[in-house]
Amino acid sequence: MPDSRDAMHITGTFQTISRRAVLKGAGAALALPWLEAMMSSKAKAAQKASPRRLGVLFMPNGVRQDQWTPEGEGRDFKLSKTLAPLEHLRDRLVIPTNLWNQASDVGDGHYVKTSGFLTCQTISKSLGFDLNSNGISMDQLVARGIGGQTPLASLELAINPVSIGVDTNVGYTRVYGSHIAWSRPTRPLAREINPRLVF
Amino acid sequence: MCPLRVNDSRNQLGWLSHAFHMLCLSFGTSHAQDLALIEGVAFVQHYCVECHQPPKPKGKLDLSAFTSPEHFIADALAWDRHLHRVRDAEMPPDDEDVPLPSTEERLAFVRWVETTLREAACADGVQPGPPLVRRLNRNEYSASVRHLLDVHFDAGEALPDEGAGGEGFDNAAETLFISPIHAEKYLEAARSVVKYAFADPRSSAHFLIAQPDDATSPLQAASRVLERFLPRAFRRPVKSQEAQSYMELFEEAYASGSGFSGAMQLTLSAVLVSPKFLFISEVPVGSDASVPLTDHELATRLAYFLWGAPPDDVLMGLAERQSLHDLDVLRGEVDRMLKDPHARKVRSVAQTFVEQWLGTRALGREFKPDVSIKGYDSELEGGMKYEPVFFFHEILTENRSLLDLIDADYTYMNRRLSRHYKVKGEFREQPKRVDIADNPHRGGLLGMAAVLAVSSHAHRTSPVLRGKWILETLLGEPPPPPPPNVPLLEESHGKIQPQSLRERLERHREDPSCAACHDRIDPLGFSLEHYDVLGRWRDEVAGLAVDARATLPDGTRFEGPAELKEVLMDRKDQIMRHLTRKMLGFALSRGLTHEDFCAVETILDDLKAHDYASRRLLLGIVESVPFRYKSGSNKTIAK
Repeated sequence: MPDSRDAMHITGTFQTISRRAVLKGAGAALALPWLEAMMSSKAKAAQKASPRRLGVLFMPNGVRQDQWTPEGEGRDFKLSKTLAPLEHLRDRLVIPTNLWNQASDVGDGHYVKTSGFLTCQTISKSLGFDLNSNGISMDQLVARGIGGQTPLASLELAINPVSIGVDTNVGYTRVYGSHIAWSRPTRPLAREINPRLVF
Repeated sequence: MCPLRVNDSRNQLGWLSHAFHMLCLSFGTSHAQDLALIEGVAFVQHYCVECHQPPKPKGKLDLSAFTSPEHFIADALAWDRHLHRVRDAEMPPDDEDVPLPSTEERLAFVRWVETTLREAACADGVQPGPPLVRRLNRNEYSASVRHLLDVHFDAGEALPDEGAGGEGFDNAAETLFISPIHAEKYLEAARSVVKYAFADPRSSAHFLIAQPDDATSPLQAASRVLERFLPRAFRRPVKSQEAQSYMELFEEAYASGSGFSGAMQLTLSAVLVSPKFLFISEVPVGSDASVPLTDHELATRLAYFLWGAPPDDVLMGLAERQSLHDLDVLRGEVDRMLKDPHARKVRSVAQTFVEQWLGTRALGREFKPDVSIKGYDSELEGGMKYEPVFFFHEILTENRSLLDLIDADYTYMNRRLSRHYKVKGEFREQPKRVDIADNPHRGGLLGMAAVLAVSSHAHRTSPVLRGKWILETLLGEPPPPPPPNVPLLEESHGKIQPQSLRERLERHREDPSCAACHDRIDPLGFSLEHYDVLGRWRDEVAGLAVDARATLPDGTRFEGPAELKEVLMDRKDQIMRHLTRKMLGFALSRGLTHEDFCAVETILDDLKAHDYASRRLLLGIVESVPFRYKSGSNKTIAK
């Protein structure tokens, strides 16, 4: 564990402009991408064009498959009803089908499938003591690779607070059902649910 | 998947082994204990060994050697996992050629293994758990900052919220992770709260006990401030090298032109992001033996248990004088901590514990009634939410009987809740104590709207959810999960002959594979059918009279909540045992191990001998071995 000597490194942070202080002052009108002045000098130097980003959206209740999958294959596809609003981006879209998460096909649905969404592994059944996703989520693998190009390597966001309690009915802590990003098999990443605080 | 029975000789051996055990039974063994021993082993031999034996044991699990309880005891950790699979009917798998135990056999086997493991764990006396190392949770962080800086804002407001683990609480060490986001948030919070505290003269008087003046240099002033601040922040005496690093930070900041205030703010912010503040960490034990906690470690555990906040100056003083291991002093402290100037802290612990134990924290979050349910608003929600909190707070602070949780002649209502319950009287927005001795519909947890709501669906009541709630929350016997592929319950709309909920749930009773569990679950919930989704009393549902009759598998018949409470009173020891377990888990901030269950039994015996007075539960926990000692070995034992 870091000791109080690490407090010395804090001096540096306090002397650079606090991103949040400025963004707060600028009011709600500011949106992503970050102002260049806010980036560390390393990131600024490396940046020629906007860095490539990865976004993952977890939709717990799924989608209507009959209204999701486009018709046709290759370039000449016809967008489905759900995806129709993306028509103007069709030249930049690839919509794969037939993806299958085998390892989440066991155990109690909610917990295994949520936590295993991006790890493609089966979680260990636990009330917390031996919590283990048995894998690193793919977004974190990506963050390890390209995270240095942006001020924050990754952002984990959510809409609802973490579900309370443990589920003694099936033997899982509800921590499993509330986290999709795992930086290590034993470390789920905490999520920010307040959009104002994200800035 | 288990292979078909190809090898006949092996098959015969399996049956012979079972026959042998049956022979033992028929010869009559000397006492019940032996019968029980044989039963558990026979289960494994009959249902498991077929697949789980050499040459290629399934899942690489060889159970052929399990011929005595000692084998189970030696492999306790693994058996905790196997037990879950047996209980949840995952094992043996539902293949045509594999004999399947009935639900009764499964549950009996699980009970046998658990009893065997717990008795073995207690045979050598109670073992404590390992030294505690865990991050403060959000609420504890806020309370700790408030204690240090005397500020009246919630420093932890921006921290991410936490999930629960262990016995189901968000202070469980096993699920208090730290993510990169925490580092950002702690830095941000430290800066804001320190800045705020410096600007507020009342707060700063609390910790800024020295300022530079004619007689005092800035360095001397800083040193005096830290001398007081650091031990209170780290909840223990601080070595001079530790203080020195913070002095060096102050000097560097001061030298760079920050001024005394700026440099002091930076230094104190640094203390607030130190792991020594953010984590409760107990010193590891050098040897294999278990040792008592240090006085400061005990003071810390005690304070976060009863207050959710750091030890105050009195506790720290006692710790300094090494008096806390004197049981009389410890008992005196428990009494003091539950008394008046600390009421707010005790109430916040009552809230934290009760909301998570009962699941009522879900009110307004995971549970929101459907728009078709009239009368729900934020004042009602507040009244509903705080009723069990104020109630439990009184039980703890006034040393009431814990049996009040099952049935009581008082509760707490605000104005909106009193109207909701149709109770006459003068009420305000703040909940107040109400005598309900003559009220046949209220009394104890099962008359409380919050409990009745979180054990319902959003649009209608569910006897299954309420039965499950009682089994899980009060009795500590959670039912196994339903099998996959259970079809949807048909809703009643549009049918010519309206069916009552009971009729629609008839399948639970007709189908024996459903009845095995539902005969235990549904009756408990049916007896509460007079309460709607929000806990209002009703005599009719959709034009049909409420039928609140119930029959348990053992033949016990009852009707309505008053008789349900009598049935639960008959099982009060089981309920008290489960509550003890929950409170011990909350106090230890981890899940319980087999060893801890010995402590549960000791505490329960004492509780029974004192008419279930709540103070005995708290004292029992605080005086227990797991609470006051830490183990030496690195091996952590799971439950």
